[in-house]
Amino acid sequence: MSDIHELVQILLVEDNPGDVRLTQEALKEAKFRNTVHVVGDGVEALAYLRQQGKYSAATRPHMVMLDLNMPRMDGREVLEAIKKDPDLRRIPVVVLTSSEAETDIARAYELYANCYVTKPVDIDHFLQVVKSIEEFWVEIVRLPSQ
Amino acid sequence: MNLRPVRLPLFVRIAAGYGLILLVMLAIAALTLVRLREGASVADRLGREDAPALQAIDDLKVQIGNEQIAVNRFLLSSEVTPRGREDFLAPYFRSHDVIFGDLAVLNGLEGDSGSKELTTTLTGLRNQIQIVEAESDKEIAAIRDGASIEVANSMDFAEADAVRSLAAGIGDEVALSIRVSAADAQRSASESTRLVVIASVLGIGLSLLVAALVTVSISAPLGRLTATADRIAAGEMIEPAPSHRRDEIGSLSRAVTKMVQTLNQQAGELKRSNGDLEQFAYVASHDLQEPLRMVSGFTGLLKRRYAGKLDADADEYIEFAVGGANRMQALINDLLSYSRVGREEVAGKPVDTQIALDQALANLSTAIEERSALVSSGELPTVWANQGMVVRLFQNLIGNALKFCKAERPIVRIQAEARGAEWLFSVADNGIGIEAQYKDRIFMIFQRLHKQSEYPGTGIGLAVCKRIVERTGGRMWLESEPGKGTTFFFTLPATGGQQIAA
Repeated sequence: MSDIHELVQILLVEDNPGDVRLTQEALKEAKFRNTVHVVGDGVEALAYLRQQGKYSAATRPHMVMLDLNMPRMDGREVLEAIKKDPDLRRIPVVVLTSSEAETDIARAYELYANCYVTKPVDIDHFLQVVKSIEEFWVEIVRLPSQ
Repeated sequence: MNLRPVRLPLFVRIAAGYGLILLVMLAIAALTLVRLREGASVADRLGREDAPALQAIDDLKVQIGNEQIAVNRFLLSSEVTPRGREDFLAPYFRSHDVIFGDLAVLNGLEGDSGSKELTTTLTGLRNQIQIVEAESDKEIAAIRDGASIEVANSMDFAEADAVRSLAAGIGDEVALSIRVSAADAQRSASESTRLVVIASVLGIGLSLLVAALVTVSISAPLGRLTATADRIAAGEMIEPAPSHRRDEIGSLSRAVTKMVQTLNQQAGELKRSNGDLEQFAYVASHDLQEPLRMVSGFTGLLKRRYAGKLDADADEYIEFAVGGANRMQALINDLLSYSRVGREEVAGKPVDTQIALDQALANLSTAIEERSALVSSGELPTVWANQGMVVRLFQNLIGNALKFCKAERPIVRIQAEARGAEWLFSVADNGIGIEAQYKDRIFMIFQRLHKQSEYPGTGIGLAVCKRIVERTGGRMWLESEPGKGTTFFFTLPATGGQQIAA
């Protein structure tokens, strides 16, 4: 676990550059040093996780922050693919989205999302939530060794 | 509408009407039959051989002979006894009385039969008898006065014989006419009986047939129309089966069909435009969230990172931008929640309103504590609604009561009473009140009566309340006295099966 504490690898799957920036800003203020890798849609996310194409040298992330609504392949499909892949399914996936729809929440958990968080609109609240996510998954939760 | 309630179905009333007609017909037939039977028995009585009239005629002939014999014996007795032997006259007076009786019987017959011929004949007979008896009386009087038999006996026996034969003739005639008329009466009586029976059977059959036809042609189609109307009222989108009849029922059926078509069309259009509006509100507010989050996120970040590091103007600008973004956020959230009340399925279930109220009060606990408000409630029932919606309803109303209150201590009282199939709730406060002219406008979306700085808010709370109540199948209104307080009233159905307004 000491490795994780040194440098937390986070894959942020998010198509909106504004949200990317806000999340990055929030993670900058986080407790643990981290590296955020950003991909813009589901296809790229799976390529990154499977180290395919231009991502052949990508590091395996400790956590995935996943938006739901994206072009090409949306977050639900990515979630399904990750949780079906025996190699990837242990990586915690945090669904971080603006959707409050009950159907989206239910669907995400049916596809084995590790947690579902709605992005708060208020910036202070947002920063707090993102930091909490990081703290929870890095410090509090015990995960299997890679 | 103030229509008198009809207690009996149409077909029962038709049947009752025909039943009455039947009864009257049966009564008339029975009466006629009784009368005919009486007539027949009169004819029967007249027509018998030993009928009293015939006996009277026979007796009349005998008595006239007897009278004549008695008078002759009296006349002859005067040859031996001067002025005749009075005792020989006794049979004469007896016969006279009997003749009187016989004539009375014949008079009765005359009255019974009413035959003109019989009257003429009887009058003739009476006259002849009178003439003969007058002659006899004259002879008797002469003898009594001491006249000789030659003087007295002016009357011929032939004259009495003529009377007798007249009587005999009359008797035969009378007998014949009696028999003929009796036979006629009997024949016509039995014919009439047959006719009455046939007419009655025909009449009864006809009225039964007509009653059946009326029932089939009025009650049945009206019944079908009612069944269709009931199904439409229950929410089915159907039309009555087309009718090709040319009568009033056909017109009614066609008018109803036309009305239903128009209503269905309008309902369809309304549903569509309502759905479009809901969809628009939802999509608009949902899609507005994204850019708004950017605005409020980055202005927030700007404030967080650069407040106090730029000049005073910059700080002010940032403050306005953040404030505007926050208010817009509140509006969009409210719009979303309002449109969600319209989109969500009401999915009625029994809801204990006491539990819903407790939940609402728990959500408001901070505000209640801050204002040291006194919230009390009477006994609250179970209604047919959506739990979450009822909680929101109480929460919005009580929240308003706390917010729009200048009193030291807000007092809110929640009560419910049964009103037929629904419950009438009231939420009364001691707040600032609402002027009468605003009591409808207050329920419209984003309508506010006060400045933001006075009482903050978007003006969505009561619009959501009204929408919840109406979607659950109830009504909502208010009574208020400015400066004293407001009471909000709303109804909720007690049990399921109520139609939910779209």
